[in-house]
Amino acid sequence: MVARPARRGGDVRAALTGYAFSAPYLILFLVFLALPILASLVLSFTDFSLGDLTAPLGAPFIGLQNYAKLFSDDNFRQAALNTAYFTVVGLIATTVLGLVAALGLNRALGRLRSVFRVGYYLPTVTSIVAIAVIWRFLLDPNFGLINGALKQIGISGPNWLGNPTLAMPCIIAMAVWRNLGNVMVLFLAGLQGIPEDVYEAARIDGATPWRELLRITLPMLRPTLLFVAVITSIGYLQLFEEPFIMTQGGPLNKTLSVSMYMYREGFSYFHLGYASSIGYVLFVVIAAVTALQFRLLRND
Amino acid sequence: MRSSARAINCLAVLALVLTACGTSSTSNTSSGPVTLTMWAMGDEGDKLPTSDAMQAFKKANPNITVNVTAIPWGVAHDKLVTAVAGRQTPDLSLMGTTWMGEFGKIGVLDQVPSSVSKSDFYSGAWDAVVVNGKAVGVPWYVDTRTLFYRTDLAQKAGINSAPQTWNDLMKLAQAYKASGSQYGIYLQSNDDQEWLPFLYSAGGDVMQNGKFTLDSQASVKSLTEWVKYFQQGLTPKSEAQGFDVTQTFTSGATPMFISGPWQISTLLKSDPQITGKWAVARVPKDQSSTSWAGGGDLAVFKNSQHRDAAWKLVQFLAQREQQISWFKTINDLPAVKAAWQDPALSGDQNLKVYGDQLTTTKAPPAIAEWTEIDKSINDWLEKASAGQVTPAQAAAGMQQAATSLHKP
Repeated sequence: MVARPARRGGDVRAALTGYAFSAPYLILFLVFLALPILASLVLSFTDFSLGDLTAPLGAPFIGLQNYAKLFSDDNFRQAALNTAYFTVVGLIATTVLGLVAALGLNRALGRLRSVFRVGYYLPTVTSIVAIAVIWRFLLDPNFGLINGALKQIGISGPNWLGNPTLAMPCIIAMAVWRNLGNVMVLFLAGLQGIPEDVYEAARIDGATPWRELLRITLPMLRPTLLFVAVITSIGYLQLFEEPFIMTQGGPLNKTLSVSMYMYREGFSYFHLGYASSIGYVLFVVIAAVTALQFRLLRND
Repeated sequence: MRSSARAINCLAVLALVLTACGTSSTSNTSSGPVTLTMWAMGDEGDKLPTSDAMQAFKKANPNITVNVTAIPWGVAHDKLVTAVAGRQTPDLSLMGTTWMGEFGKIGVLDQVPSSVSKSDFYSGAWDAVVVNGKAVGVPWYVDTRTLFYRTDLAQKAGINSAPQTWNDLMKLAQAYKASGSQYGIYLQSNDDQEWLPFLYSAGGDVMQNGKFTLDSQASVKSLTEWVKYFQQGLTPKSEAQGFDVTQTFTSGATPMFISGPWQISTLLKSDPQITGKWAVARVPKDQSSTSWAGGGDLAVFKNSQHRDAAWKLVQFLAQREQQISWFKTINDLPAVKAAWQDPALSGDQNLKVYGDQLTTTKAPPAIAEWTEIDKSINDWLEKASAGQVTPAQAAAGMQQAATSLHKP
């Protein structure tokens, strides 16, 4: 009983010390993350536009109108469709190809393994802007390397990024190529975590390599698969730099992504209220997709 | 002891007040040395500090220092918007003509002093700086669109004169293609700066008496004419980002295009092998030959501490001699009509066409929402060019988009 007040004082002191040590992060978090997040939520219920810049608090409050407008906005619907297309196709392609690359590197290749690892991983650590600019040159209809190669074998190549149906597949191909290395490294780590004795037991029971893959490797990779799916789809849903640099959202808005539309509304036209509501819709979608993936791929 | 401390405090406060008064009074009169911050975009920003015009200004006003910050055109609009939001605007800035409505309407631009005479400038250029009846900027240089065409290839195709009318243009494009060119003309499927000359020439306009007229008969007519070039394969359906028309113009793949005055010096400098094989012509006429008017304006911000000095610089740059000197530096077309009598301008056949074209131009409306309305017009233009919608549907779409975006 006597010791208690002293201990309470110690608790307070310990807590204070803890807060003091985490203060640098906490203050930065509150000022540069929590506050803007809250402010943009408030903004999304206002009609804040360029004219309100000189008197920010006078922006008219319009309730849910921004959100209502979103669902009848053709450009937003197009952007949402494009982003969904990019995410679904991109996610499947990246995961499958990343897994194939990891399986290959894990088993075969011997000494060349590290060369291939570096080769696959290199695009991931290269600046996305540099990559997008280079790809734009590669895909140029008149002077690009790809159409130049096609010409050699007598094919007149299409205008890749200028064609409404081809532009998005080109951007997907580039994104898959760039993210492949990252996914592959994650799968490699996952594969190395699978104990060898499980495979030995299976082989003794006469399992074919194909059955080994389906019955052992894939089930045991489930946590890695979940992580890869979540990380990749969060990244893909925020598609921005690739179309921003390669196509500006065109042709015919076929590569306009939700993030790009948000940027355009917010920083080119200064409809900060409307742009904030787009940001919140995107946030909710990302949270929902992540939750769904956790449910589907959970280890029961 | 105590009272003397109080006295010292009083003195200190008094001194502070006095110095405060001192600084504010020097900033109001322009006698002391003044440093101006000026933003300028693109080539203009790079070349202005060392130009003859700026040197002459420094000689005439030794107490005014001008710091020019060069900003790329592509980010300039967003940067200005951010500067207004953060109250970090420069003293003065070069502005794209189409931004004047936007910045004028939010009231951050200073009104032009009465000593500036409206009649010195091209009327199309002056109209663009007037917002709500007040001039909030001074035209520095003007810009319009004309037709560039290959004379040698036209001769090969059996046509020896510049296209005058829409019919001539269509015939020439077809003739080019028939005589071996890949296309007849290059029209950018999503750039209204090339379509607006068609709209204006058909007697239409974006806005009349405060109402949008994008769905007028003239608008549908001009869109129909525009779309024909895409339907008949006379112009590329679409182009990649960063496409440079001068390359296909030089190779002969697109022997015509509609563009601005800077292309004259670009073609002369980077493609000398076709010098003498091309010419500039007024935009082809329907009801009239009326082109799009743009350019650069100089505007002073209300927040500036040195508005007098800033206007002094603006008025200096708008003098006839300085307009000619600036033209020689960078080939920007003078906004001051008198400057065009100088042999540097009147002696050049291609420039003469521009001078001629400038007398009949129209500027897009000076409204706050023009940047985004412009974007949706481009979107509808692109849809019509691709054949996804009919010209009438595109016109109706443009009208609907513009009306819903504009808040009078």
